[in-house]
Amino acid sequence: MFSLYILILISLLVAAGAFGLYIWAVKTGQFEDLEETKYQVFDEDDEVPPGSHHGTKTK
Amino acid sequence: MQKGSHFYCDHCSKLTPEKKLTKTPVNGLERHFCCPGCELSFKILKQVGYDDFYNLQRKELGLSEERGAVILSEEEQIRMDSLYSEFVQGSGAIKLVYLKIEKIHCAACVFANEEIIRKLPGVLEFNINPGTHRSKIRWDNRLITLADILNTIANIGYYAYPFHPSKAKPTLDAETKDLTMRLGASALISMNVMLLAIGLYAGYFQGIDPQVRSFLQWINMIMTIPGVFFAGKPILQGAWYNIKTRNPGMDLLIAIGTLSAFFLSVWHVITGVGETYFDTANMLIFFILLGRYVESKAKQKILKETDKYDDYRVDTVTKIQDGIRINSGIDDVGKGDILEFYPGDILPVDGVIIEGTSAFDESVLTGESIPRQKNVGDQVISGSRNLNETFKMQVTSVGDGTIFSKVLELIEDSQLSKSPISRLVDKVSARFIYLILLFAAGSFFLWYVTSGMAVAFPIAISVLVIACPCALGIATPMAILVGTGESLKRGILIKNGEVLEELVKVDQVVFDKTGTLTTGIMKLIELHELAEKHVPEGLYSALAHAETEVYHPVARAIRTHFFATTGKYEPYSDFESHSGKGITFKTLNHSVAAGNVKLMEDFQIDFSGNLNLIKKIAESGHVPVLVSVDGELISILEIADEIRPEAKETLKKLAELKIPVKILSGDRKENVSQLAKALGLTQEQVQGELSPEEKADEIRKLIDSGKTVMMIGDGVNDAPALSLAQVGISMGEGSQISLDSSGVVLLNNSLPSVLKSIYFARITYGKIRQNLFWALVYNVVMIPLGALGVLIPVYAALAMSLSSISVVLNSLFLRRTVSSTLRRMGY
Repeated sequence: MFSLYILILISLLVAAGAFGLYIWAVKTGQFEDLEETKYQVFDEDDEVPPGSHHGTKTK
Repeated sequence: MQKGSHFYCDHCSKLTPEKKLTKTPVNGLERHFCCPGCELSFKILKQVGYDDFYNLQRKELGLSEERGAVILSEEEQIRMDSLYSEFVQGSGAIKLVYLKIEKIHCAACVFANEEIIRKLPGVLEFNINPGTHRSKIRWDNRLITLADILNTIANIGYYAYPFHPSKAKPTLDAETKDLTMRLGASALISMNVMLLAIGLYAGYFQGIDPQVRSFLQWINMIMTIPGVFFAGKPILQGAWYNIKTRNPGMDLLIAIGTLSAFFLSVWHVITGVGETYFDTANMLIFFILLGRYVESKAKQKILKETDKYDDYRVDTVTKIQDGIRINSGIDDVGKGDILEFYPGDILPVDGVIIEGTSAFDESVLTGESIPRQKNVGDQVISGSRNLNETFKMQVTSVGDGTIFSKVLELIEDSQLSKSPISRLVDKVSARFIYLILLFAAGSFFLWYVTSGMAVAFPIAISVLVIACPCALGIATPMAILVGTGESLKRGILIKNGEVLEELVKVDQVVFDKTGTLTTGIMKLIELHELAEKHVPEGLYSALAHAETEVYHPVARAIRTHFFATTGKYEPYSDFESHSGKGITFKTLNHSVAAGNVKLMEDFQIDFSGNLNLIKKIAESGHVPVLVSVDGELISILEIADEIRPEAKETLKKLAELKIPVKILSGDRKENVSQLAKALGLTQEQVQGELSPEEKADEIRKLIDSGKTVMMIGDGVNDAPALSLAQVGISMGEGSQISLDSSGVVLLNNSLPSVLKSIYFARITYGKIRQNLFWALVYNVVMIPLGALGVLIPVYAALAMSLSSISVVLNSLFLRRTVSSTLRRMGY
């Protein structure tokens, strides 16, 4: 029976950790715009790392 | 305060018969009120120490004062002025500001705020948009300051701050974020509590070690504390303000349900006897938050569409000063300045082109994607985009005076507005809540007597939760938000909910003629060449050129026609304009005269051989222009105001809707009856030679005969008739758009929009009725189920949220209905 107490307490800790992660996600705005994210690959204005010629902009 | 058997209401000073009066002692004095709303407001004002305003108010009404009138300290005035000068509009004593009010989350909140603030002396107008929580307030600065208004709002439990409607970013964001956080917390806690609760249920049936049972209960209790007090904080807060303002709302019902489940369970845990309902408390909060989350996301989505206007703000322009181009901030641009715009530029001000020509995309205002070509002398409007050429223009209006700003303000207002039906719903649901509290108490009592606590308690909670009239509260505002948004996308601005309701009822449409059924632009429709006469080459090109010197619709018609057909301007000389008659000039050694009969008489040119033709043209309502070369009549130009191509189709569709049509015009009777013939109307349906006042009289007659009249006219001379009709629609372009006198503004100046506005209103109104119907059915069916104990509290909460969500989704479906209806109508 003792293991039950331990396991429940551990699960609570895990849940608390998950909740912390969730708070972080909300605070950093991960849920703000679920719609736009999928179009981000088409965004041209991404910063291009210097020297990478795949990303060279053609205008 | 007495007058005969009537008393003045101590709050609003309305004279009220004694038997209708509410008498309540306040601070030891007996007070009289005309309604409970006044009573509530009076007590709140008394409590926060604003009752001095009553004295001021009485003084104005010529009643005796109780104490000296309130005088604002100079310091306070200055503080207010500097702090809010950025937001407050209006230069006189009457001020206007837009407020965003936080912590509003139901119809009753809106109701409470509006009731209390509107009754403050000096507040002239106060409307809250239940969708966006934005409000517009207009007040008399001599009677009340903004600080007082804000304080009063704070005192009834809400937080208001001014914002600039056109500069504001979507303000829902912070609230949605907060809601997301609490919803997630509630979900996580509910799941865990549920999990352990299943163990407890199993133990209830199969037996369980008392020690384990107690342990599980304790863990559940600890988890539920943040579940109720952190996740459920907005609900509890709302409930507290409900109590404070004595304006019960849905929060109160949910809070009573949750808290009683929680505290009863805590009692059972501590005493070790009885079951716990922690899962119920958590799930209640979870489902309510879920419903609100969906609602707030939906609103965000709709509001995003109006956000596009933010992209049309411009900070700097190129100004031409003493022939030099300088970069200038938009605030430094004044009326009369010369600005230069390059392709791709967005115009921040209205003006007239003085040099160059270009195409303009005005789609942001009109919804019309086809660019419009504009030349020197044409008006260009703010918010349009210069597409292909560089041009110079002279500014005609800046800042808040521009068409773009005015339209933005109207859009904001239209979203803030409420329809009479939603006001009624607000009032009813506020009363409804008392009934529910009573009903829940009643069912608790009955079940307690018959079956004991364990049965009665969950049932009472179920009733409280399920009876929540929140779906009822959002039914109307949601539909209006979507409906006005959809019509706006198509260039139709419906000013407010009241207009929307009138639009549905329209059973008489009245058109003006010129500029409404006709384009208002003169066109050369026929060139009658007098066969035996010789026309010198290049004559018409020279005529077109010469007419550029005259600003007259007829001159414009001639110029446009011949420039288009000959493709060039020929030189001319010795130009002379004869006011009201025509022009004369010389070209290629010929002397030319173009004008009316009077001009010909002046120059003794013989036109007697063509009298019949001239007469015929005049009789059909068109304008004859006689052209002579070297004293000899060579041709007659027939010029007419063209009937809009869509006019006939629109009238036909109105007939299909069985809405009778009338034409009232100031034009000559022959012209009007000519138009009626062309459009297939009977002569009884048209009236000509009416002054603006006579038009208004006609409208009044129609209204008196019980009709709901829609008047479509140009804003300038039809203004009295437009503002008299229940629905006034002004047609016209640019500055001609009369924004004030009409309830519906057609930003795209197209006649079918008249028809579309009726469709929009009917569809939206139908949706409102549908929403209200379902919300009512839900309450009527579910309350008995709850009271009979069929539904456990968790399902009650789920059902309640689903009913709100279904109203939201149903409103969103409106978009699809609008598109498909328009498609079916052939638009």
